[in-house]
Amino acid sequence: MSPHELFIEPWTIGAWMWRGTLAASLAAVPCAVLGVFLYLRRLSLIADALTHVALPGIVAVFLMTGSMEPLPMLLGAAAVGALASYAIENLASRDGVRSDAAIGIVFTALFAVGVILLSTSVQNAHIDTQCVLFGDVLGISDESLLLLGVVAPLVCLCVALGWRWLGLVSFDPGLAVNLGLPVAFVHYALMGGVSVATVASFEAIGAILAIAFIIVPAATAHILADRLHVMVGIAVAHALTSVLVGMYTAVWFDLSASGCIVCVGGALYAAAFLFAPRHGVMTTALRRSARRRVASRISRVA
Amino acid sequence: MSDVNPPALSVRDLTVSYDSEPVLEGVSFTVGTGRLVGVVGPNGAGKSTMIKAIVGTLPVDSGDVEVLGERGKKALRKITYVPQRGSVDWDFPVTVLDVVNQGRYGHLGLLGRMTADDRRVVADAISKVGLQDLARRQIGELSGGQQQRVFLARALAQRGDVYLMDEPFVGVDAATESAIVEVLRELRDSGRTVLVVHHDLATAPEYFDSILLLNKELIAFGDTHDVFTRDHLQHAYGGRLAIFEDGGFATLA
Repeated sequence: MSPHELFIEPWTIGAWMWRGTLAASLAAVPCAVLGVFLYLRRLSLIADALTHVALPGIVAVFLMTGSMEPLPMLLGAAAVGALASYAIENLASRDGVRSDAAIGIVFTALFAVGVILLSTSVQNAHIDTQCVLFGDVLGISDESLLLLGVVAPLVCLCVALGWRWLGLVSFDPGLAVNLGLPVAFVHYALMGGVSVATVASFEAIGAILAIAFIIVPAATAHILADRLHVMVGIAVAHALTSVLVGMYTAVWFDLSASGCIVCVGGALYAAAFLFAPRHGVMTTALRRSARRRVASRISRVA
Repeated sequence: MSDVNPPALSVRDLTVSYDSEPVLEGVSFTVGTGRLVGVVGPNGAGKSTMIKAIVGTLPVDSGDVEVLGERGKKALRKITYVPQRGSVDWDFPVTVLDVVNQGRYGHLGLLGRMTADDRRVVADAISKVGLQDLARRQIGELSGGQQQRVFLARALAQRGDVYLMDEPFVGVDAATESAIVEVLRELRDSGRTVLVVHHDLATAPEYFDSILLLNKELIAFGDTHDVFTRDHLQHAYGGRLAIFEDGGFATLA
């Protein structure tokens, strides 16, 4: 196969390659950006919880309004997300409750409520569990694409505006309190942002794979970056590279697009883990053996 | 004491509990301006708890804090808190300069830009603790003593009136320890009041003008030579106190 067939042709057969790549990119970038702050606050697992509790949020909104309009869905998910993160924190701060258990208890319980609601009263509605969990990036609807087109820039803008506070609250909440910053507000804004970003990406990549975009780019970037803005930049680059390479892989081998995207993301993480210039496992080992060789040569000469 | 010169720090009836177990009971004291105070007491005496309660990062059962005649948020703004080194993640992607810049955030607000003045304050703070050559390093690459100096430089950049420091000498080398003491004395001489949580009884009398002796409640507070007596220390430390023939004291682990 010629390079032209491999790289150019997928873009010319209908609009789905364009739309899929755009949707996945718009889903990935805000998740990756917010994921950096979750990662640095050791809250990555919260993302797992928030994506799951979005389900009861969406179903509850549907039951109340009877509509599947994107905006109420987003608000419902964000509200349940904020509620869940409050419940998790409240539970975790009690004596004798472990914080990891608190996360697990709250999100599985709320998710189960969502599953029950879904199995009974809204069975006839077109809430496609398969789609919510795994996404359908090649068959993305106009509404979802539009929603992502609004949410992604909005999330990035909010992060840019709140940059200083987000950074300080993540690094040293004690100093943030001392300086009189609204620490609780920043925390819930971040949680709400994560809920909105994940719900907006449901149709593109699905709830479970949204978690991958929150955790993996940030984890990769942390290995490579030593400044906060560099870390965010690398996380975004990681996310976009995963999308593009993943889309090609899916087309060439006729595989699940979202599955490929996340696998590529994982492979990039592995590469950074092994070969990062300073902290990579292989790099450090090579450096050590090079040093040993030099040392033994010196001792032989001496 | 006249109204013109309110005390630097006034704490009344401070009580704090963990899990409904009181760790600090009814602590009251008043410190004037330009004092260097050592907060001394055995492990678990509530020294760090007291500092955190004063700066508002811990909920208190009761108590009232006044800083230079102000209360609440206004009082908090005048306090500079230097946490224990272990309280932050040193793998965080920030450089020494980034961290010291944080000391200006209170003045800058959310979107304000660093002025030339801010930058000068930050540069002064960094050179005062001797880190000018390491300003562009990621903080995880520094030694323990250098990391403690980063915190001190950030505190200097905050330009507070009252400094509360939690164990600044833990895990630092001798050079850093004397450099920190030097900076603390300069702060005192410029009229600031500094409270330092300290656990080394051997160096405490040399470092501090006043000693606040704590063991869940206030045992004694005043000039070092008044507080640092065998009776007071024995009261605070009980059997964990070793008294040397030359009049020195040390704690038994």
